[in-house]
Amino acid sequence: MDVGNRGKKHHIHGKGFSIDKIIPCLVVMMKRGIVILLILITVANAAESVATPDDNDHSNLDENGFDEEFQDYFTYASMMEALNMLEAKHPEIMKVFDLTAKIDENNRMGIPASTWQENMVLLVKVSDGVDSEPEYQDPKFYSDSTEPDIMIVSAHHGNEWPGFEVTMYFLFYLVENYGLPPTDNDGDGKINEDPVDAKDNDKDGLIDEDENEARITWLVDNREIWIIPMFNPDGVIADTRVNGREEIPGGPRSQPIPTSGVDLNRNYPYMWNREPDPQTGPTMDSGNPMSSSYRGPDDNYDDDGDAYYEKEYLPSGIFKETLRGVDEDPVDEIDNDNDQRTDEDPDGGFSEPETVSMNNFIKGVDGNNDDKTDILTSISYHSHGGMILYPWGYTVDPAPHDDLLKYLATEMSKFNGYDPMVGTELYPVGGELDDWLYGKNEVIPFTFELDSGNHKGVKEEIINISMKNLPCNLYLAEMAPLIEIARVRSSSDLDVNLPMINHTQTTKMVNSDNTYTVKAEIANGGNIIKDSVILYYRVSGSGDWKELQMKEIDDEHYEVTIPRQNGNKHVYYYIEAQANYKEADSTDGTVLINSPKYGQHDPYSYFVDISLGDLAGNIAAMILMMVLIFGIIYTGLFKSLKMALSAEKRKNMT
Amino acid sequence: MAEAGEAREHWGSRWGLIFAALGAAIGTGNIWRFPREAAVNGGGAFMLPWLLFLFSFSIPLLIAEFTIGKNTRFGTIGAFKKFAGKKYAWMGAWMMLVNIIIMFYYAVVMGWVVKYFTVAASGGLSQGADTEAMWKGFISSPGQVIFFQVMAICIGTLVVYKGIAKGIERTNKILIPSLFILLIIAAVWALSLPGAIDGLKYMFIIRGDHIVRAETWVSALAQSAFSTSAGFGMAITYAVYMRRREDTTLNAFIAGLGNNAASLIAGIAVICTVFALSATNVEAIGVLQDPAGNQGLAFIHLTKLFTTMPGGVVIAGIFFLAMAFAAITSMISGMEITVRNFMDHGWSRNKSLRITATMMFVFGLPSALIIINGGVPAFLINQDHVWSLGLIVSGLFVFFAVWKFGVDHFRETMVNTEWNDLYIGRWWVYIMYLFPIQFIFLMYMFFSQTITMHPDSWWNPLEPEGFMTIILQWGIALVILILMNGWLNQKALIKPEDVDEDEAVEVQPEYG
Repeated sequence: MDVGNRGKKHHIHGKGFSIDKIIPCLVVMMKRGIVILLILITVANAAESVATPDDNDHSNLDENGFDEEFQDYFTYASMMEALNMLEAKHPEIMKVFDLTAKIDENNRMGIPASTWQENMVLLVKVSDGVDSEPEYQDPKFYSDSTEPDIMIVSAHHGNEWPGFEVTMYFLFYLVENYGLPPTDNDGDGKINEDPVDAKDNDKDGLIDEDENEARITWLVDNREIWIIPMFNPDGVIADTRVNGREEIPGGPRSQPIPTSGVDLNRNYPYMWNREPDPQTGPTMDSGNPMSSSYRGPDDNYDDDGDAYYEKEYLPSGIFKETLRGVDEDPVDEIDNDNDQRTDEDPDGGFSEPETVSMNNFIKGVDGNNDDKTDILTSISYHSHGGMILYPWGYTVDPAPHDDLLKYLATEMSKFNGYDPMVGTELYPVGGELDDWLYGKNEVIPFTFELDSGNHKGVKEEIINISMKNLPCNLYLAEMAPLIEIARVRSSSDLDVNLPMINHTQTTKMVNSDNTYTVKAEIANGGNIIKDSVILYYRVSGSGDWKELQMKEIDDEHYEVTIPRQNGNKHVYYYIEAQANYKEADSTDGTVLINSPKYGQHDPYSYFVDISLGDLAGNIAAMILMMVLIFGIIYTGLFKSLKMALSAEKRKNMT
Repeated sequence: MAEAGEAREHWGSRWGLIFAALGAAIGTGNIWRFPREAAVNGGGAFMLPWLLFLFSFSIPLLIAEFTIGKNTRFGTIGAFKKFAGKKYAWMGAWMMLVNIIIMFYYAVVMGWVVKYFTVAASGGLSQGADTEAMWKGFISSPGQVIFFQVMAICIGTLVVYKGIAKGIERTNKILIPSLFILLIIAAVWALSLPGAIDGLKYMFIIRGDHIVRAETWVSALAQSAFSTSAGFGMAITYAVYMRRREDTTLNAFIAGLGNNAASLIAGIAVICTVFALSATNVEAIGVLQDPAGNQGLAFIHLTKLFTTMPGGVVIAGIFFLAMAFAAITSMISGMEITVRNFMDHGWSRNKSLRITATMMFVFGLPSALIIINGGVPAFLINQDHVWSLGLIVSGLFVFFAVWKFGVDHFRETMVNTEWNDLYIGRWWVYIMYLFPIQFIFLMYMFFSQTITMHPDSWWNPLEPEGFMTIILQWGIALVILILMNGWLNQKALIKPEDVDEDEAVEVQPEYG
């Protein structure tokens, strides 16, 4: 029988060569080949999965979209062009003013309504809604008294260029990042993992490459940031330290002697042309018009109207008249003439259109009309040396707010690595901006000497230096309200006693059947105004923030429940509260605090998932259906199989 | 003639036929199509009509097909010629054509599945893998796709070459129980995951708004029609190898019910996995509704979800192995349908198979190679769109044949034989008369959906999922087949009638 079977097989396959043989051959080959192929595929697949590309290559990273603007130094013309471009692009958050145009030309000193060389000192205001603010009304710039103000100014010295680059970079950074959603700026798949603070927060070898956009939006919305990128355009154009003052024969204010120009940072009427202090030695400013530190001409004007001629009969019989009461009480915090008035007849300063503009601006930013400027703090950029200077500039005596100034300078030095020091430690000066801002206007000012190696630096370093100082600008803007409180209290402590809203999300998802309860703890809550703790929430797809007052549970704990929402929605929320700071009397006495820090721009969020019905009710329906469907199909199947089984038995028996 | 001496092939046992019929019915559609359809169309609201159409559409049609095949002992062309008359041989050719065209791209699909099984089995799925990029990368590399397509065809050829008992029957006897076991493992694993209950709820609770929608009902009917192999010609072809004393009716019930039983398990495995491993219900529903469809679900979303759980990669391997088993058992039935018709023409099984396999490779190439938008197999989608609907037309032809014969007469004389284990009552007659209504409902809904989904391009034959592409391709096929009818009658069937003697059956030694 075996033999027969074999013979049959051969018969099926046919005799001789036939194309029909190919398939049986293939079959045999496949039987062996498939095993080998499977092994090959397995190896190939494994290799494929190992060789996934590593995307840590950031070598061609474009740090900021506008970096191409910073490949070379701005000129006065290209700066104006850039400002016009930005203003046209972002009119709602940025407004450009011509400061020099605000000068009253009928002044006794013959100062024109432009720089001496007929250029403009431009001021940029960055804040939300500037396009709908009231226009400038002489002498007031509109200022929202609830938003803290800061000033950034650069190029007092026209030959120190890196300063206006840093300032322009800051401006670009603010307006170009405003209102952006959280963005993965460096394309590494992570969002906001490395904010601008000069630290490599995510340890990827890159510094500050992915800022939190919400921080910028929040700053612009909650601050007024005043920027003067090129304070001394004449000097920038001529590449001189001093401004464009020249002898103008026959002019209203012709100089009896030629001058190279005035050092604007020596032209503020505070400790102007002071007698040398024995402790500090002579200040670094000069009365010589040809000096590069020329402080400007003497005032020679009787500001307080008390001038008189002192008549004297000299022994020679000559009757001599001497003018007295002119410039007899210079700005030095001393009643030099014992007339119970202090500093009422300055001896010089504000002789230049630029410094007059500064004065107009500082005095003109006064939203609450308390005759004190709203500007809280400032940075003036110079080069070079890598230093953060703070008052005083004229004396070694410590400033009243020495602790606060030192604290802030030290904090900022952590970003850029500069040396924090008192101005006089570099060299003593008179009539300098910071002393005037601090001494006469209560501004907490800083002067940065950028680390550009020399006055100009090199253009390749522009972005580097700009990025290094960006966090200082942001930090100061962020801290402005706290600086104000600390200033009023003469304290260096910015943190203690500031209430903090602590909130931890217990879950980031909720079912559409359920509400969402938010609990917050308020640390150092002593100053919190009780009914000011508000939760704002917004549901995706709608633009409105709704408010819910949070209920006080005890002194430190607050709670509120966000109502049920439809499924497949994101809900965003943040908590806001007001802390009472009556001491901070230059504001309305309260400070707004948020959680998260940037409030509505960086809110907490949770997801409302679609509900598949509550368990108790629907489980029954589900089980019923399962029993029905499974019951019909499986009972049917098994009954059929059983029938088939018994039928087969029956058929086999027959 | 060399084949004249060849003994007729028969199923080794009834169970072989049942497993083969189950294998044909249970395909990839049970695993990746049914769960999506059930989830998208209202859960329980879909299940009820789906169950209804099993009894009102699929099983009655399977009974008719089994009966025709058993009585004519011919492949689809011969069956129609002999049963419906010489004028209608082209209907059998249409059946074969629809089937072979589906096989052209089915081999490509099975290749994808085999590829993904090899990837899962070799540990190629790592946590957090970008499965979308992986899928698009794979499908856009012609070498890989064709390699696995050829592999799928080779596996199918190997099985069909071995014949009915030793090839198809033996393969199904191993693979179908294995498939059930694999699906049960995947389902149990899915049910063990926290959150699986949401999947069960979504799958079974009747969502009231869906039950009144025509879309729900048409989807349920389409799923039942596509899934059970009714209209495929499978039942006709496999019945050719039945013994005279074989049952047809109970077997039809077992095939239909077994198919739906597998669908339920696969549905639980897929839907519960999706709900348990998705972060949110919204995401889970999004996955099930992804317009990227079946391939998107299996190769992108499920693959991704499996990688999120330890142990998930093992289940991924099990899942794709089950898919591969489902695909291979369906593919061999499709190949056998064509091979049977060629064999009726007088060719040997080898020659028929060689030609079938070659056609599957050559005409499958456009489906494998035409990839648009970086990862959309446009041609394949078009062919699936056009020809799976062709199955419904095939079903109508079967109804036509029965109607022409006389439905009740058919039931009395041909269905209810002494060998049948299940007596078919007059209900079957009434249900068969419902067939044209169901056909018209399905076609009308399908076409109007096609038009409303592509309001600007439905008339464009180049729109892969448009209306005109169906009409054009069907029209060409029908015109050619009707013109060929005379040739089909004269030349297509040269198998001597005497081979069909049932006496040969009795002397045939049992296999095994």
